[in-house]
Amino acid sequence: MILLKVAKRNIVLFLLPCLALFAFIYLFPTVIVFFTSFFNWQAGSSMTFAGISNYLSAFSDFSFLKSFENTFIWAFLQSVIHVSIGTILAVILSRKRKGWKVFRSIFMIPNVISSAALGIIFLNLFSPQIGLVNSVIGAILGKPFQWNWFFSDKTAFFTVTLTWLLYAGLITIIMLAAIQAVPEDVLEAAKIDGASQRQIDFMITLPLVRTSLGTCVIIAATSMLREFDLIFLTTSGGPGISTLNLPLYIYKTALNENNYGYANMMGVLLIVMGVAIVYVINKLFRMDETDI
Amino acid sequence: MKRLIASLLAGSICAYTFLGCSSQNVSTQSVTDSTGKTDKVITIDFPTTWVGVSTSAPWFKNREEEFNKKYAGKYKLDVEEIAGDQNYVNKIKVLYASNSLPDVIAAGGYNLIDMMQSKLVDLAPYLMEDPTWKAHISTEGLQVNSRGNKVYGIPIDKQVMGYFYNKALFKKAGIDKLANTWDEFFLQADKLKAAGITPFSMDTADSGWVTSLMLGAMIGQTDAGETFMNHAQPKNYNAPEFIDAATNIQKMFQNYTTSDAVGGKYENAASNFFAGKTAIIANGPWMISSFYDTTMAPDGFGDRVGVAAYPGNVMYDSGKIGFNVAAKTPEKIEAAIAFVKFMTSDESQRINLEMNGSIPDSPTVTSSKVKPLVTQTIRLGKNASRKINDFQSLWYANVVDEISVQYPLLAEGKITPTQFATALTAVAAKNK
Repeated sequence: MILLKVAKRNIVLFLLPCLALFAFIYLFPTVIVFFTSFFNWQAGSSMTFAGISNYLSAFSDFSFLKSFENTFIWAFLQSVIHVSIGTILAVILSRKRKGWKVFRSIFMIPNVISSAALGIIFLNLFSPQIGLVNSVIGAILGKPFQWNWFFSDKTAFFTVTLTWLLYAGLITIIMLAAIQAVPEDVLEAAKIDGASQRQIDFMITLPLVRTSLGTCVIIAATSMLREFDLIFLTTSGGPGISTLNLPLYIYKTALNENNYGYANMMGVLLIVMGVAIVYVINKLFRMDETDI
Repeated sequence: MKRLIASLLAGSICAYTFLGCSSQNVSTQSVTDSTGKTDKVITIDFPTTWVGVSTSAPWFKNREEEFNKKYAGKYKLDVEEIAGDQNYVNKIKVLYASNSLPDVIAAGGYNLIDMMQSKLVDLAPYLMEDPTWKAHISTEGLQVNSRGNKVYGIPIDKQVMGYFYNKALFKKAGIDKLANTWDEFFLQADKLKAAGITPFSMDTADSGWVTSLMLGAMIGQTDAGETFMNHAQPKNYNAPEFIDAATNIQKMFQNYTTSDAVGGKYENAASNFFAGKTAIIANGPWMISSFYDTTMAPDGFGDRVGVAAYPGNVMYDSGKIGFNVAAKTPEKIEAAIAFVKFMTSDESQRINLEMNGSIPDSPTVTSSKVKPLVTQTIRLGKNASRKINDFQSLWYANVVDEISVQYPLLAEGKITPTQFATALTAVAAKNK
């Protein structure tokens, strides 16, 4: 009993620094953000209590609604397409064909390049004047092609989405590890029962890695709730508000309009959106249940 | 024993965590001289963008060394390097919100005075005490940095800008004199196009600086436009002169510029001009040194460039927001003012003129060691019929940002010039 008490005390003691850091860096600022979202707080003027007027204003703010919509769409696309690409690649790599380790490393390259560098790379890739994309299209068409992918209203959203949608290296790594952890005897039994490789992959392996898949979907969706760098460095939310998302709108509201109360209100709504997304994904993938 | 070690480890980690969170306030250091007398060296906190690849970096390094030498044992500059004007402005805003502004601020012409007045030191009493110092500040410089009877900034330079043109390309197109009206200006653009030359360097990213200078110059060609361009923080952009100018900007985007202008940054616009791909670029005299820098422009490029006033003899010629003091204690304020006096002295302004082509604010500063284009720019400013201020100094920050995202829509014809004006007006209305 005494040993148990001492062990518990040591656990608490060792957890204390981490908890303290969490409290100071995340918890207290979150509480302050929540609290100040009910105030009119702009630089150069004192804070005055505003009740829920900031929240009500958001629903008539077209830029907020558009940024919310864009954030949601990106979170959905990332959860579905990005994770699917990563998972399919993981399934292919799990067969350990020749060179699979090399491809595994290659797929990770976009994930290790900084956002600043990626932004410049994509701006140059899709440049109307010197971009590789336009050069290839021009070569196919047999005449010069100078489409402004990032700054045309028709293609800006699509082009910005491409900067992150296809590069599923992290998802591939996570799913590959999960797939490789599936017990061999289960797969052997399936083979003995006459299941084809595709049937094994999609009807046995994937269901068994359900929780890892759910984790990947959470990672993908929540990454879109934090996406800022690539949009800021490429279109800055334009043309107009076609590529504006919530993090960027919060940044602009806080630093260009100096409206901290309104920005914090959007921060609260972003947190609520994140919690809701994680909750739904947890339920969809039955994350608290195991099959093995 | 193990429990003791575990407890000590956990305690140390906690202690280091909290120590790391504390702010270090090393604003004074002790220096003991040979007689054994100890003096406090006051540190002046100064974040700046005049570092790295900034054209002003060599000038600032020179000034920093001279200041530290002059005030050795008394004051020391603690420089924080921040790359990029917008990053600097954002950082200062965050520091303002957390009540931790640095001792001295130099925002490169961005107007932070209206937002931060309450935390800035009123320099009027110090100017009254030193009439010699006050006499070296131009009237327009003092005006731009004052609010009522209080002075919140001391300028080091002024904003004098026309547009640069490539004389060789003009000759190739058969243009032998500069445009006096905007109609002539666009006729010359047609001539350049006919000769296979793209007339204008333009941009939209990062406030679309080069494009917006053209926009402002077009607005400023009438009495109402000149008033508009000299009015601080306008809220209504639905003025006929603004819409007419936006119509011309739309025409320029659609017919007279490079394909990378929409979405392009200033660097794209500048590169196109240096490479001889475009004939005209709007910018300030700080660009002149780049014309002679063979890492940026071809050898001899500077001799092929001319500078002109905008049609209607319009020039950007205005005072500029200068150094602000936000120090809190009397000794820090004294130190900060000594630094500001040093940086805005005639000597500093002269060296800035010679090294960077920055037009000095002080009416008494001259130099023979400047490029002819700088001298011509100063002369054009003095002789201008209409003098206007630039948008970045006067307009709301969110309007300056909004311009960047509205320009692509305007260029593509997705919005009309009227809608462009309305969009800016709507954004300006968000400011209280």
